[in-house]
Amino acid sequence: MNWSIFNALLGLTFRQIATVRRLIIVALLAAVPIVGSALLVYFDLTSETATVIFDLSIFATVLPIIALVVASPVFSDEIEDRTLPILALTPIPRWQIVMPKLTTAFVVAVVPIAIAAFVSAVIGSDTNAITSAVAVTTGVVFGCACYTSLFAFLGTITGRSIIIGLLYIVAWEALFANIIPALNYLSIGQFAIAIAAQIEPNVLPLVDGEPNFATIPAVAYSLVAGLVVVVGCAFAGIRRLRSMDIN
Amino acid sequence: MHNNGAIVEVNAVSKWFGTVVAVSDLSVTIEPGITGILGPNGAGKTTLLRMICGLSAPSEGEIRLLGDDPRSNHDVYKRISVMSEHDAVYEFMTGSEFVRLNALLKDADPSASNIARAVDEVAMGFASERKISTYSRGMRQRIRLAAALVSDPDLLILDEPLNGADPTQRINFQDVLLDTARRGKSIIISSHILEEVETVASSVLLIVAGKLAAAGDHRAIRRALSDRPYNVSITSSDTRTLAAALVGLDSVVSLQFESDGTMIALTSNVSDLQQAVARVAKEHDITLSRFEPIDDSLESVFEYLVQ
Repeated sequence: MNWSIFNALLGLTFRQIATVRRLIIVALLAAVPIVGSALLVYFDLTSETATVIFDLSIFATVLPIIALVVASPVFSDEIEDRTLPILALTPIPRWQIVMPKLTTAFVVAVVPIAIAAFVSAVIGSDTNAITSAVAVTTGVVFGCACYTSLFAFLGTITGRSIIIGLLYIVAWEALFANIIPALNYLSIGQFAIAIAAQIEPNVLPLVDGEPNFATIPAVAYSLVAGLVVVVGCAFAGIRRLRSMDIN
Repeated sequence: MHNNGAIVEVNAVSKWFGTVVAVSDLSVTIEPGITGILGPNGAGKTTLLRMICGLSAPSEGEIRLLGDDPRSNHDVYKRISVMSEHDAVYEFMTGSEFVRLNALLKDADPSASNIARAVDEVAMGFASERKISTYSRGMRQRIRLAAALVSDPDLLILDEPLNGADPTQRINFQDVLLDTARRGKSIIISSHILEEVETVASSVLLIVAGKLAAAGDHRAIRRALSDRPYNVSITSSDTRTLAAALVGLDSVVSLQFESDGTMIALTSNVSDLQQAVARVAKEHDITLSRFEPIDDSLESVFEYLVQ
């Protein structure tokens, strides 16, 4: 690994994706759960049910949408601006181009997501506020790694990665994975919830007064499946960079 | 340098996009020196260059760049630099930052002195600390050339680099290329304008409709262009008398008449026709208001060359 190239590509990618407009969108998205939690407390609406619904909505909406907004342009903007040849026509191994880009996307996305998850969980939790916050935050950090890899790869295969990513979030993660239990095993959001629930079961809905583990995949499976998504998308991105025709 | 000293070998290469054939069964060997790739817009020059530098894979055939397949051996990019036809730069960077990034990516010397050398070579020192987003098109072209030169490549591939450049920028650009060539570097430069290519290139490849139409010394290409038949539009005060005098000349292939009184003469030698028309006009006291070759476009030249 050539660290000066790695650092140069980290900096390049950061300046590409951290545009003022994008940062404002991300900040607004991250503010939603924090403001929502504060409103629940202010109107004295906190309850186990409300907190659970709120935690789950972070996994279902805020997490994937911020990851999409940050990660999908990592390659698609280079393709659209026709700057990808600047990187491609170099002796650098393709994985050394992909890794700093994925790393930057993860870091830029995970900071606001983790802050939003932690702060909103602390504000909104009835009991075990810190443990719940650590659980939710750990879950979203894990989910963020999966989503950023997935959406960055999506940007290498389509110029419409934002639209396709949104469809995926709405149709797959928010709709089908919720109404068809078997699809939980193919849902990044569910993997993240499983990680969080392992730390603090109260982030799950209650059935007969007990957290309902039946609706989520096992934590071991979630860890392995999430890792497969991260490594698989990184590997697919490297292969795509090697094989694609670049304009 | 490599097989028979070639820097690029293109063997039976075709490239198609769906049903559109961009390059068709093209074979050519490019030797060290400055080579111009000439062809009308849409001839397949950019597609060919993109395949040569490895950005695009041939649908059929094989390409060797400095002896290697550029799609599988990326080390070859230590020795070549490419300037694509697109005005692609990181606009948020300063000129110096952009050149330095290119040095780093090429495993070249990223020191301030080397960056300054490349920037000065294209006379961009005065603006190198400004954001590229503030540059004019000509300045962008020059900083891109500096970025290409910073790694001191053995081969420079330039796709339509003079598009949109003003005459002064054009001359400066050509001076830099000639200096680079004098240092023993090879250059491949594409254009759809013969004059641009022949000023710097020692040999020229003519590409038409995805095929190699002609290759060789630029003077031979120029002769081929001069000897072809031209249509010349002639407007005079007495078309009938002028036509009667011209019809028997060897250099006049045919005459046609337009409804507005204009005569179109197809000639194998424009210079002979020009002298004959002047002589006849003087003898018969005819006033000439127009004498103009009307199919001097590169496309018509290529059409003739590939017949």
